[in-house]
Amino acid sequence: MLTSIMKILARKESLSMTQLAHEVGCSLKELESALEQMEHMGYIRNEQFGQSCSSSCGSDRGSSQCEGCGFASSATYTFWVLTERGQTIVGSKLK
Amino acid sequence: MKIALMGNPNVGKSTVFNALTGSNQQVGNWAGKTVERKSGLIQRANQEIELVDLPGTYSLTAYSQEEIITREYILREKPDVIMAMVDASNIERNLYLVLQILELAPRVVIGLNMMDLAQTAGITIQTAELALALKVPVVEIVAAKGKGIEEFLTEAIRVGTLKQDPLPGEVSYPEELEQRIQAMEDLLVDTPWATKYPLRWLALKRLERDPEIGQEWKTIPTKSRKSTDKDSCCDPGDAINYELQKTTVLPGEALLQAYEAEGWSKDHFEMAFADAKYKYISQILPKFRAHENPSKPTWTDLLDRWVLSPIWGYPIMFAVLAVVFWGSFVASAPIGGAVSQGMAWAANVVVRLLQWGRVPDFVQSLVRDGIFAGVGAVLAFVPQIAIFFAFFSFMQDSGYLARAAFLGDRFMQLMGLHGKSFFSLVSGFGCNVPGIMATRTLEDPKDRLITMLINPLIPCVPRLGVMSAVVAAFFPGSRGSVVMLSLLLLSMILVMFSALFFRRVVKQTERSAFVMELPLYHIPTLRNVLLPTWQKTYSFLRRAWTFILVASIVVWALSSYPQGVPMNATWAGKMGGWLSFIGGPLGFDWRIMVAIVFGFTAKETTLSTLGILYGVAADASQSIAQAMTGAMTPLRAYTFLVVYMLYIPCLASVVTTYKESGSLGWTSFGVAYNLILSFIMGWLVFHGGLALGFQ
Repeated sequence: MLTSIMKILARKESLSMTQLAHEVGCSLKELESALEQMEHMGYIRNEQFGQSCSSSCGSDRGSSQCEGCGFASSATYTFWVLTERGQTIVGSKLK
Repeated sequence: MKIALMGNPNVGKSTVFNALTGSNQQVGNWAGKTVERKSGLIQRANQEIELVDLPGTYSLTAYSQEEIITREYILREKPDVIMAMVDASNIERNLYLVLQILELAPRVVIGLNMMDLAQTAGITIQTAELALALKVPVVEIVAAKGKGIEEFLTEAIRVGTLKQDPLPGEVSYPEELEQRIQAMEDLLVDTPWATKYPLRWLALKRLERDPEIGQEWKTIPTKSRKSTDKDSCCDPGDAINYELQKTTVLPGEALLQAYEAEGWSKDHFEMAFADAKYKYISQILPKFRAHENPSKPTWTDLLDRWVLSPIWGYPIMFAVLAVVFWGSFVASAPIGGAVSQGMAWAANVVVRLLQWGRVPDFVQSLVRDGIFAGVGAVLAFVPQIAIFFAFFSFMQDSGYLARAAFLGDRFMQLMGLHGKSFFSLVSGFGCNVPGIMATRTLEDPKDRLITMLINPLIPCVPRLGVMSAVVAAFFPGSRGSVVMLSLLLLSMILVMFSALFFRRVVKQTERSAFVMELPLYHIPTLRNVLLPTWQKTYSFLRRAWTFILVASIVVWALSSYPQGVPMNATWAGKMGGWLSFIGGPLGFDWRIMVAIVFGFTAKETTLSTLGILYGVAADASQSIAQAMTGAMTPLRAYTFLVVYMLYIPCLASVVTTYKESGSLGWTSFGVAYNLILSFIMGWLVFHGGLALGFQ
């Protein structure tokens, strides 16, 4: 299962969790477990992408007139990406 | 008797430990570590039992302090039995650790906890079948209610007192792995290691080049270290954790090097072993676990089949956006008209009051032609913008916006853009400044640079708001949503081709993928729609009262002096005249060029500048929309929208690009690229439109 996931990630196309579970042929829970294990092993990383300004935004010279933070969406996206180690193993021939 | 209590974090170990030991506990730290060590004494059948609560871990590799402690305890202290706790409601995750425990120690009893939660989730587990599959006893417990804990301990004592080690189930690895494991076992069987560790486990760890095992070899006296390897080599070990002496010869080194030459690195072995365990879990799971309606798709699954479809996903996305724009144009039309009239009336009243108070003429002009015409022009579109924000919040809270972002990334794949780059672009739809800042999450500096350079091509919320306001004035009704969609499509296409162009400029070739967790669909709550709508509208209004007010006063001054001359002879008029060599080919008069220049500071300023230069307040009977439609044709308006959408978002975004890239050269390149691209696209639209007979 882990190797299948890595091989799919090696195709360099983005997938949703449901799509990946469907491709691997496992349940969503099994996939979550496998992804957590791969994260633990250091091949992938879980990232949360929130849209926020830096703490200095609006207070420093460059962006003092920006005030764009009010328009930034509060949406947060969670996704898994390959780490450098994961990229290396994907780049080599997976067994 | 010594019993170790093990399991994943949050599996209920502490509850069982506390129930069994009561107040008879010793709490401290593991030697040399900051991890808490808990042990307790239990008396059962005239036998004193030491129960050790090991740290919660997900596996027994050497990646964390908790794992190393747990593994070392089992290997060195050799407990008589291990009580392995498993969460029945998440058994897939928990069995991975159990399989690793079984490779280390044969005397294991499984405590199947949270059976009540599993039942609530529609999961049934046949305990006897699980015991049969793993060949170890399994006891059902509900630790939170104290059920089955005593039976769990009784079974552990029984297994711990067995005269012979039982033969638990073993993961069978694929043949090519088994051969390599066997070859390593043959090399290690005569080493001092073999007397300390289970041979198969040792072979697995050696193939993975486990750093802890290498370190352990160092502690073995040199005389007894004799390796069966003929080649003398040294293992650098894991440089992060340990630096082995170069003279230390580890058994099996020559074999490992031979495997590496075949393409089997330590990472390949580690991945293959973990993979085999997961495959084994998938194979045995159906034997003991049943799930009510496991394959019954949820509403989210059903909707996603269409919404995320590579064929239907994009038409659906454009249909949703069309509804959003159409809805915001139609719903805002009556309110927008009323606000415009209200602004004109207020301007009239204030000016009359100023006349009554004999306030100097230039102050009257400033209030009427500067503040009301400028700030009023922006405020007149607030209802339109607020309704657009409300639709945007609705899409976000319903879970659709995340899907649209996901679809957008698949679109970007065509151009080889980094998966994570797309999320920075999605941020750009809110505001380009945080969008540019969000590129910090990209590790590759080339990815960062490309994403920073294309981010300004994404129309931010204020730009979209102003654009929808201009579109509503020139293309009323359903035509407006078509025009807005065409502009967004143009923006997406230019983002794609710019990404392709920049990839060539900075010589970027690689793209990486991601797996995205999408939220469930749900009906948005009123609060989750209204609150962000208010926050965005408030930000818009705040900018109107601060930034746009100042800009309006400056534009008023430039367009009012020298006094007594026609407007095209004022300072603003002269400035516009100088820029006519750019505006002329695009069909823009001097006023539009001045508005575009002022738009560099903030995009809404363009609207306020147009309001002043078209003299909205001078003729109180007409709104900004009427004034603009009277002075521009639809083709010129569309050309203006294209140029407006593509040239730099605002000064703050340029400064942010400079700060984030640290390069004045790339910042200048980005600004020049946006300006040239907007000019070329504007020229193509204007002359293409004329050639097609549009006015």
